[in-house]
Amino acid sequence: MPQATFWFASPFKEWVGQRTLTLSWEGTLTLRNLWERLASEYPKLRANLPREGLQEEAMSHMVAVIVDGDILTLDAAIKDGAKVDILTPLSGGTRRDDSDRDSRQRDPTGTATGTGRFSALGFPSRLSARGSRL
Amino acid sequence: MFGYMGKVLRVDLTARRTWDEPLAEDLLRQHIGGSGLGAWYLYRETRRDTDPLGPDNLLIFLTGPLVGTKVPTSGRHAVIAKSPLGQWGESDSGGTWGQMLKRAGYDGILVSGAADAPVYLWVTEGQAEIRPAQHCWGVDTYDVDPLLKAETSSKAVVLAIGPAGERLARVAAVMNDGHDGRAAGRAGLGAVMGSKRLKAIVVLGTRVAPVARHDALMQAVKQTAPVINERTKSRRDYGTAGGMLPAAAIGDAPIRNWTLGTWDRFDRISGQRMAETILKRKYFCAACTIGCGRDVEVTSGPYAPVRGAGPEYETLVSLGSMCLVDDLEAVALGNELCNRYGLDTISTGGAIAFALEAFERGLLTTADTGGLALTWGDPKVMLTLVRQIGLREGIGKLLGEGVREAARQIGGGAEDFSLHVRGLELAQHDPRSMNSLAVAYATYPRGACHRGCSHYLERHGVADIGYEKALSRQDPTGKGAMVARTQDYSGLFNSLKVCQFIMPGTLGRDLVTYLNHTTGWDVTLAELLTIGERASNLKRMYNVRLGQSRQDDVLPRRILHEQLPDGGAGKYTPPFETMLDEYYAARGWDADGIPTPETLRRLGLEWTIPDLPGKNARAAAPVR
Repeated sequence: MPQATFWFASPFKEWVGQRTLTLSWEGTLTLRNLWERLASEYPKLRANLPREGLQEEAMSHMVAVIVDGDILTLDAAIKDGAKVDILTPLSGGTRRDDSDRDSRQRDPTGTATGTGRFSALGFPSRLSARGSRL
Repeated sequence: MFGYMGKVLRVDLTARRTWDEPLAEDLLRQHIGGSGLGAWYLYRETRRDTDPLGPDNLLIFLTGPLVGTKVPTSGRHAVIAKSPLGQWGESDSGGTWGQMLKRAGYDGILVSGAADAPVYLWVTEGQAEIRPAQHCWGVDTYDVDPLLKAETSSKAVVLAIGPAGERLARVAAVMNDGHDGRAAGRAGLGAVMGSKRLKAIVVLGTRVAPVARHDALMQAVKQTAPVINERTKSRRDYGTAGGMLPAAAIGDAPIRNWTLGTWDRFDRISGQRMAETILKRKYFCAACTIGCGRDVEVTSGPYAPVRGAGPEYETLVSLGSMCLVDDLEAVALGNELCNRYGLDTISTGGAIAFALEAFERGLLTTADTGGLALTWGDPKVMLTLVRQIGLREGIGKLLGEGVREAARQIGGGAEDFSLHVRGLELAQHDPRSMNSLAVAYATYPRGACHRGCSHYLERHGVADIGYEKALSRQDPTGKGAMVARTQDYSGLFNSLKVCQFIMPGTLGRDLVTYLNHTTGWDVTLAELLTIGERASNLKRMYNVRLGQSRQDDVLPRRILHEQLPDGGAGKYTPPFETMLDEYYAARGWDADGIPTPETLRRLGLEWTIPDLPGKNARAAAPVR
């Protein structure tokens, strides 16, 4: 039965609870199949998939999956014995929940107050409160 | 007029005089703002023989129509001048200065002449004053910030040069926002500011440009901001260095002055490592919803103290992997020193890596370096050279000229490993990994610039400019045309003054919506892309007037003829000339890279036709 080793960078490491994972499969395992399988087993990872689902462009903003120096597309088959790196994207990044939005965001001008949570417009509320009047 | 303050501030430092100049709306519809509008001013007000470091150069600061609105990331400003590298020069920066300039009552500031002693400019509520700055000369950009706020207002925002700009280093940046370390880094524009003895521009105001369709703009922002936030999550969590590990994996991130394909230390300088160690908080520029900025703190150890702006991807590579330095805290200190001295981190790191290789090859010796052995991977060597470049001391005086001039003076074949285009050191993305960068670097008017964003489009596509999906990164098919389109498209961000980092969550039609609701115009996407194309061609014509052509659209020998031994970019060099031919054809330029009269007329740039070289100019004469 073919198998491959998967190495997870943060935040994927936190979502699957481990740095590396060895998986085996029967037949063919595409990257799309892998995400379906991981999503079914790891709720945190499932919660962070793009709202569009397993769609190529949206996934490219969430993750870069690399084997032998090349980025895999969703329908690429993972080969037996492959060492697969699950990395943050070259640019962007996708996440559905807002759980981190209470981070220590900073008001560059120091002139506003707020909770640090995002407003309905998607702005950190400090910036929204301070931000330019239209 | 909506979306604009409707005027720029003119400053003649020689005469020590300031005055307001109105902006015409028809001009703005042709060029919008930022570097697009800056091209119009610079073309008309400098000459072929203008000395970049002389009083005749024009130093331009411009915002755009979206600056001051709630459009995500719309808080940026452009800096434009004839570059001390010899051609078109532009750079841009985030932070809060651009937004505050507009609140102070101006869409931009145009500085001509040169003061006979150091000065700074204080601009507030539609008024401007030239003040003496002798006491600030020599003070670094972090320390001058509170100094000038004490003389103006604690709520003011300061843009300043450091010692590198004062001493005319061609790798000098124009910095803003003090410890937050925002930089208009590229093209040596800090030296232009230094040549005018203009230490700083301090701005403060409460004015607001009117928006034509307020509710509609708010609705558009409400629809797009969540998508932008979702698709930029990694940037928020890990900064631009969140892309470090995949960049390393596909061979995009250069190592050891572009000679190695793999390096097992990237994880030590990654965005993830920073988040786990020295990151104190995320930094948001004005109106930003992404927060890729890093605010770091190092309180102990050999590189303490470091406090303030942290290194982003380009800096981590230029001062890190390019020099084989794997100590994150050392790179953080190097970044702070660059910010304080007012240095472009990309060019500074490129110059240091060049010096390390020159020393290894025996072209530099300890006799040249004051006894310092320039060895790879030594953080102290990297930091010493940053200091020397920033203060223009020792070997740093030569390296501060940039690698092109340094190689010329060192000789002995040093040109072969001085990596630049038009004198501007390569950004930290390897064209051997994503081959569109070969054409992008060679043709961008300011030199080797990654902000044409072709490498982004290779990964993701932008549907409504004709690219539905990602392209193969080493297949050259269609890449020349793609670079032309993406340079026009990404140039729009530089004219509107919104950050290119919203690209993952926006399309061209979103830019159209933002612009029209703000200004009350009825611009279509096709028209907007034509405005982008106009800006690209006007910048090209600026360089054509200087005598540039295909012979200047070249890449370093190392990129074209030396293959990396392994890694994601290994055993490959880009088929450059073929892609370049395709690029020229897509642009409507001739085989020598010169815009044709027909192209210039189509774009409303017929007034530049007399500056075409010989044959084209003569052909155009009857029409004119």
